[in-house]
This record gives sequence, structure tokens and C-alpha cells, in this order.
Amino acid sequence: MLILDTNVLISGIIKGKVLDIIFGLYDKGIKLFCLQLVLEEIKSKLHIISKQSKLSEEVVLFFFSNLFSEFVKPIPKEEYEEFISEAKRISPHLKDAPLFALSLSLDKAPIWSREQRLKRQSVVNVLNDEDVEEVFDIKLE
Amino acid sequence: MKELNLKLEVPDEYAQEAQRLANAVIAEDLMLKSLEQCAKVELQKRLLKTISSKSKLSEKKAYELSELIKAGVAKRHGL
Repeated sequence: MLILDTNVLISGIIKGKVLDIIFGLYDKGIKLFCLQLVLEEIKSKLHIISKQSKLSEEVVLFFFSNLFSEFVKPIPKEEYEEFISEAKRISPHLKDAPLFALSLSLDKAPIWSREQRLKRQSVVNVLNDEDVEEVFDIKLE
Repeated sequence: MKELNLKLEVPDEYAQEAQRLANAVIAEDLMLKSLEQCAKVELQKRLLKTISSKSKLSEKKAYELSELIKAGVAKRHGL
């Protein structure tokens, strides 16, 4: 079980190894989760993502809809919001609290993030790209 | 329309053969469904890879976007 930070999800649409790691985890049967509200926010910022990626809004929406329909399971707020107070105490930054709340609701499931500040706590294990490859034995071609 | 249940008495070997055939049909159906699912997933992977290969989003912009999205998510939580 692994929780994906927003920076990992957004990096999926960049040519690079993030998507390959996600597919590698999926093929190994590792359950991947994220905050459902991230998809809502992506939808509300499609015009910005489209402009910066030079992809049409339809293609960006298609990308994330497919990612979330098969490979990463979005978890609704109702399933983790009771952990928000505790998460606020753990989280190095307030805006990461929902992510930590999701982790706490899933028995402190590790978080995959590209943001170093998330490691500034000792309650939840935070993994970067290389950690994920090593811990889950993902071999990239 | 009413449902009618018929009960047939057949020799044991007939019953066993009928059960074997039924199991084979179920197994074949499951295999086909499984193959369909695998093909669907592989197609999705290819499509997503193709899209990401055409994206011009930089690592820096992706980071900025994700921070913007995180701020929006936090706001939706009243944080």
C-alpha cells in the first residue's frame, strides 16, 4: 500500500520515470491511493496544466481520468477527515495535512513524495522515487 | 411468466460430465474476461505513456503546479 503525493501525480504527465514506477507498482499488485480532492483541483486548473504542458485540456483530463480510474484509487475526504487534527500536528506544512490524514486513516501507510519537507517528521514513512524503486523492488527498463 | 424448475434423475457419470462441462465453460469465460482486462490495462498504459511523452511540462513547473493544487486541496479542508 502506498499513498501518492500530488507532486508525484503531476510528474506523471512529464516524460520520465514516474509513470513507469506507477505501472511497476501496479503490476506488482501494490495498492496506490491519493486524495480524491486532488482530481477536483486538477479539473479546476486544467487550463493552467494545458498551457504549461502544451497538451489540450481534453487530453490532460483524459490522462488523469485514466490514471485515477485504473492505477491510483482516489479516496474521498469523508474516509480520512477524522484524522485531520492529528495530521495537523504531524505535518511539517499545513497544506500537507490532508495527505498525512489519509496515511493515518490507512494505518500509517507510507507516502511517496518528491518534496523533502515531508520527511521532517517521524510518524509516517516518506519515500522518494529511489526509495520506492528500492523498497518495492521496481526494475525499470 | 412463472419460473419452472425441472429435476432430472440421471446416472452419476452423466451428472459428473455435466458438472465438468459447466466448470470448463465458467473457466473459459473467466479466462476471456481476464484477457480482456489485461488488454485494456496495457492499452491504457500505452496511451498514458504516449501522452506523457508529448508533454512539455518541466519539472519546475510541475512542482509549482502541485504546490498550487495542494493549496487548493488544503483550502477545501478549511486549512
